[in-house]
Amino acid sequence: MDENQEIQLIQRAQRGDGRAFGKLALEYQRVLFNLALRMTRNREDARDLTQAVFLKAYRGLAGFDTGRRFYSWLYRIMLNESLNFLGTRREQVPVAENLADVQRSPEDDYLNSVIQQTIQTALEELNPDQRQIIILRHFLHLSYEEMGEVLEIPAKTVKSRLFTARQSLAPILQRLGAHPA
Amino acid sequence: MNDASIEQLMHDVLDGVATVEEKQRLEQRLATEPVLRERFSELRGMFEALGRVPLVDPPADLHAELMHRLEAEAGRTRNPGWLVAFADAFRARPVPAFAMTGLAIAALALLLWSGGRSGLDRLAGKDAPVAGTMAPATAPATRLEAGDARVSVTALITGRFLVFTIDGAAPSGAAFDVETGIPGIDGRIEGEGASLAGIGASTGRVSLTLERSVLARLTIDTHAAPIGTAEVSLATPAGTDRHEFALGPRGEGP
Repeated sequence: MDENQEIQLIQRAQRGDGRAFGKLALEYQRVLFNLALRMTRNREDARDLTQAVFLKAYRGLAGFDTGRRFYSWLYRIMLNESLNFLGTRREQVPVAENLADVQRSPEDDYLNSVIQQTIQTALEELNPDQRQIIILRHFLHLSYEEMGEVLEIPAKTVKSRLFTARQSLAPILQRLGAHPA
Repeated sequence: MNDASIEQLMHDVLDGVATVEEKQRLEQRLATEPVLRERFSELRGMFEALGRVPLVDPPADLHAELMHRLEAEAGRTRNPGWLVAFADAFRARPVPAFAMTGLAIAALALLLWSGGRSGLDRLAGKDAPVAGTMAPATAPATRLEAGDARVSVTALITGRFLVFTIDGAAPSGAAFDVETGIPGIDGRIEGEGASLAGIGASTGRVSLTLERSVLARLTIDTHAAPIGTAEVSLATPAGTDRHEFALGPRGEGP
């Protein structure tokens, strides 16, 4: 979907066309679900959060400025919802149970699966702000500028926060044996 | 250059945001300083490990469930799709839209004036009696899984038409078939990720090919033939999953 098509769908959705919004949701559900999954470490929570974010976006779409990038608006809603959710959640479900069904592909080799589990465990040791900046950069592959737009901070601040988050993550990963020492 | 700034430079190089000069400066330092070389290797290992985390597929019925919730939400402040399309037409091309509106009103007036009861019946869809009631009847949604393909399917009878919505993902392609057992049917597909592969006029089978993300509607014209059941199937090289929709004999609906 190119930018013009997306703007047209947004404008139709703003006028109440649910099908247009459905197409937008289809476009973004995978990445939003992954964002929620990495933040919450639980598939069911990620599913609920993804639904909640889309509903919230639909309700608030009238106020969306089409001069902004739609994905950054959606990601911002998701990050806020995830942080609120993490703030209220008391019990954490063990990671291994949650991600076991995520790695469905039979061709996934053992090494990759171990590394993925280890990274998820390491992410849990970061605070949520550090976790989100790692996710945006390394899993969603956003640029500094795009991350700045989502987080509503200058790109320069993104760079320094990302640096700090990685500096926190590196010794954790090394302790867990996820990368060569 | 102090430790902090050389460390930042390593991040910049691994992030792909360093300039050529910065990259060369780091390479020179790495060539002569084994400690830095070791640190850079560690960091590179971390970047590579982070890069091994793939995006996972969301639950196959996530989108279908969202659409149901959106419909429920929209039900309170209903803004019909045709009305939106109409409004769009006025915004985009006001003059042709006004002309079309005028023609439509004139045609309706002519129909009423001519006392064309059959015409009015057609407008109301009364020449398409399948179910005893004209109210659309929907069967509960079902979920089919075959290999890495997962779709949610709903079936609905409205007038003489049997309508299936297919929503999900078929990353490596899949065949989706509907067996109606009704000879002489027609079918059309709308939406994304599904294309019509064939219609068996004598067998009453409609075959679709699915590709990647699917959000499509298959409309089968039964030409007013009675509908009992319809079997849907999803097939990939890894296997086949089937479900039989009990749509009820003519007049009862699902």
